[in-house]
Amino acid sequence: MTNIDIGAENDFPLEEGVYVGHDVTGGEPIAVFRTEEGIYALNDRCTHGNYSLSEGWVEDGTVECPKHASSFCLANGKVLNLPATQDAPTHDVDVVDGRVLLTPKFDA
Amino acid sequence: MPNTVILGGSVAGFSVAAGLRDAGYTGTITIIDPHETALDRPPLSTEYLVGDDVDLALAPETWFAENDVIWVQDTAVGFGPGSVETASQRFEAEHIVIATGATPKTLELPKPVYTFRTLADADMLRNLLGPGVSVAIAGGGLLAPELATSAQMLGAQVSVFTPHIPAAEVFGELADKLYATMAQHVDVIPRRLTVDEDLDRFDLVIAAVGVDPAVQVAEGTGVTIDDGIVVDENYRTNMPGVYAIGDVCRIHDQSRQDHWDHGRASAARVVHTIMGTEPNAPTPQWVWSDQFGHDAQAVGRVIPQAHEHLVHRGDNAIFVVDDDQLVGAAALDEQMIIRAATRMITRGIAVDPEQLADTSISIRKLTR
Repeated sequence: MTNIDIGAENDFPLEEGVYVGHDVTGGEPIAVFRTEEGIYALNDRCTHGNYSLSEGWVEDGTVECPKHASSFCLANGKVLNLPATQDAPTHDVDVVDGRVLLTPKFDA
Repeated sequence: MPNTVILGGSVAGFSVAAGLRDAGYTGTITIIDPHETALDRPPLSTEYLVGDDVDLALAPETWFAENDVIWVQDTAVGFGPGSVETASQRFEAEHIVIATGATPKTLELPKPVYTFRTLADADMLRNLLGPGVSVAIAGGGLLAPELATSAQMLGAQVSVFTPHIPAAEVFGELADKLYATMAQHVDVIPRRLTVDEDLDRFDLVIAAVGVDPAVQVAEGTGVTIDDGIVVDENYRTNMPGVYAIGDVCRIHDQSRQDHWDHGRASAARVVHTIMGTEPNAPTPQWVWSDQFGHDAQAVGRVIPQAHEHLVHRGDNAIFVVDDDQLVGAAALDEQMIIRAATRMITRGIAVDPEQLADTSISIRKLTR
């Protein structure tokens, strides 16, 4: 898998999600979250329904889906509360020399 | 040997099992429920009814073995101190959690009347609703507009009978907007559905006229029943070791709350009661309803009392403010307002009505 340069670190506001479309990821849309602790990437679509996690509420290392308030751990994608029951798939993302590099991990 | 038997495995009952394991409970956990597995019901009236591919399971099948939770597909018929009985089995139980939910009320009409509550109900109506079918839906709550939305999507010709603006006590002023939207899409008849109507013009009649708490299992046991199984703030009944949560219960000095989030919240609280740990502060009531293209949500109480202020934020969000504290909020298609309001209420964050009303200020900012 190759890294995809998805922009400068400063384009990713702290404690917010950024939507990365399928045209960039080559698969499902991905939500990228930058926090004080690090930078994380999850599948954008909430595992409970058709809603974008990039629009979610980022807090304490989690993102809460706006629609029905299921939360997911940013670091490992674990679902933390109902109504979602499935973990969010994670992807590798890193900041190198001020650039955000995304490595999608779609099932081959 | 510590063990807990839970009667009912929808969101309330299931959440007790999951919550106990999360809290480190080591005793046996048994859920007695007539369904094949733990199911979430909110999607039934919307996505499931219109045929979307939706996973209703509250947990993957492997979850039960992984968490050592025993699912017994059966119906409890009675209990006493320390035990629960079905028609064919008896279970020892140190703790008994009643989460049997509610059953729909119906209407007495000279015609078959369908109700909507379970997966079986949804499967049946999914087969009956379709193009050319004329359906009357009676009710003034959240369910009637949701069913009307789905029935219309399935091609049916829909008439909704409602004597008042549906769910006005839940969504406050915004209920007027939902009502107007519904009236643009389907035939809305502003009265109750009674025998006086010409029922022959309908192929199908559905009653969505509220529910009765499913208290049968507790009748004659000595547990107090009064419009639900009566419980204290920690969901204890008057019988030691017996708790009731979700739609089946009523906190002694409050009215019944038959909403999904109360199932979840009351389960979280009873886990603390069983574990002997300190519960979090009660969370405000949260309700959502998807109808005619709107996602309507409300948290807390949105009808102001005399000393409180109603604050508008744009056309689709309202807040009720008491001094500098938020009492409740409702919004159409603006979920982040509800997420913010929930935090403002549970954390006691001071609010300023002028800032709440100012759409140029990010609602998230006001929680910091």
